[in-house]
Amino acid sequence: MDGYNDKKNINKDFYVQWHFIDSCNLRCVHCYQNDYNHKTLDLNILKDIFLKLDEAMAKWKMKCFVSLTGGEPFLKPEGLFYLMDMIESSDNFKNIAILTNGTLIDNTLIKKIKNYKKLAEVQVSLDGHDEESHDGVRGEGTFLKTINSIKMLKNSGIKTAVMFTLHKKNIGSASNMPRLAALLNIDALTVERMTAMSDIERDEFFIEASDLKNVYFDVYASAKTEFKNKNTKLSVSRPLWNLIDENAGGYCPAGLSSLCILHDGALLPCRRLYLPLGNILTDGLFKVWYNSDILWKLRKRNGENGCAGCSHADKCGGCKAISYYYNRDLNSKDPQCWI
Amino acid sequence: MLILADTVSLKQDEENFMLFDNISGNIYKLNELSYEILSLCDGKNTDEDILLNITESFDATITEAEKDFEGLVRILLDKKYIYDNDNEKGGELYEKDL
Ligand code: SF4
Ligand code: SF4
Repeated sequence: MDGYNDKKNINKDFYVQWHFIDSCNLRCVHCYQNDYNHKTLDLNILKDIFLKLDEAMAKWKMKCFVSLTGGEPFLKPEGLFYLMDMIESSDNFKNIAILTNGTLIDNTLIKKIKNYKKLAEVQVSLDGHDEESHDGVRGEGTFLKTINSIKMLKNSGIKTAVMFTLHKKNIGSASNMPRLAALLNIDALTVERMTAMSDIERDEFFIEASDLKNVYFDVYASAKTEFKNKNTKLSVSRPLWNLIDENAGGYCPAGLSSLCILHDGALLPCRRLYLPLGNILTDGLFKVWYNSDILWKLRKRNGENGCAGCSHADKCGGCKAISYYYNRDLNSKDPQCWI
Repeated sequence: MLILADTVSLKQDEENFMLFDNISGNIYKLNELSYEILSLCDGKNTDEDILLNITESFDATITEAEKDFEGLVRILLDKKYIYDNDNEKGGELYEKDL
C-alpha cells in the first residue's frame, strides 16, 4: 500500500476562487449573487478557511492561485488585506488575483495592493464597450468609474485584465471590446459566456450556438487586428475557443484542479455551478474533495460525457455549468457548442 | 468483524483504486486485491468470508490470500483505518490476537 498523495501534482497549480464577502455595491442584471446584504465580515472565519486551504495545499504539494472576490472585494478592504497578508506569507500560495467591479478603487488602495509581491493581476469587469451598454448591465455611472479605475491600475504598473461577461443583452458590444482593451492598453481581455441558471435567465440572456460562433469569430478577428504590436492578449483558455484556434481552449478545471469557496466556507465546484459540495469549516476540504459524487462526476472524461469522440475534447469538453443548467446533466454536450 | 473507520473512504475511478484519509488528507493507491479486501470490511463479513471471496475472485490459494490479507490488515489496524467491531478495544487487541 503506497502513500502517494498524488505525486504527479507536485508544484502544479490549484485554482481557488474565494468569494470572501457576499456584499456588493452594484446590482448587475446578470449577477450570480442572491443576497447582497450580509454586511459583517468575520475575520476569524476567513482565517479558519485560509488554514484549511493552506493545509490541503501543503499535503497535496500544490501551489494555490487564489482569486479574491465577492460581492465586491473593495467594499471591505480590511478583509481583503487580512487575507492577502496571510496568503503572502505562505509558501503554499503562489499568486493572488483580485476580481472587482472597479467602482471603489482609489489611489490609496492601489498603493496598498501594490506592496504584495504575490499580486498577479487585478481583473475588472466591463460588460460593454461604451457607457450605454455597460451601464445598461451594471447601473448608471459605473462605466466611467470603472474606466477610470482601469487607467489608475495600469498607470500604477499593476497587471490589469478585463472580464467581459457575454450574454444576449450585450452581444453587440463583444466585438468592440478588443478595441477598448487596446485603447486602455490593458494586459488581458477575457470574453466569457454568462451561465443562465434558470428558465427565466435562459429566455433573457442565452445566446444560441450559431450566434455564439459568429461572436467568437468576430472577437478573435478583432483582437488579432487591435492587439497587433500591443502587449494586450485575448484570454482563450476556456472551453469552445479551441473551435476558433487549434492552439487555444482548455478543459473545464472544475473538480480537477479548481474550487470555489463562498464567504461562509460553503464549497462549490465553480461559482457558476451552484451545487453545494459541503463546507470547508465543518467538513474539511479533504472529505469533500475525496468523496463528493458531484466532483467525481465532473472528473469523468473518457467516453462518459456528451463530448465523447469529439476531436476537440482534450482542449474543450464544454462548460460544465452551462451544460448542467441547460440539460440538468453535468456531462452532457455544451448547448452553445456549434459543431 | 472488520470494519472500515468512518474517517477513511474507498474509491475506484477509471483506472485507480484509492483509499482516502479524510482527516490527514493522505491518499493511498491500492492494488485491486487490497481494494477488494477493504470493500469487504463492512462489519458483517467474517475474516473467513473475506478470504473465501478473494480466493474465488482472484484465483489465489487460501495460503496466498491469507498472507496478503494478514499483511494488509496489520498495516491498516496500525493506522486505525479499520477496526474490529467485535472487540471493544478496537484495533489494538485484534492486532495482538493475530
Ligand atoms: S462536442 Fe464537446 S469537446 Fe467538442 S467542441 Fe463541442 S463542447 Fe467542445
Ligand atoms: S463549469 Fe464552466 S465556468 Fe466553471 S470552471 Fe468549468 S468551464 Fe469554467
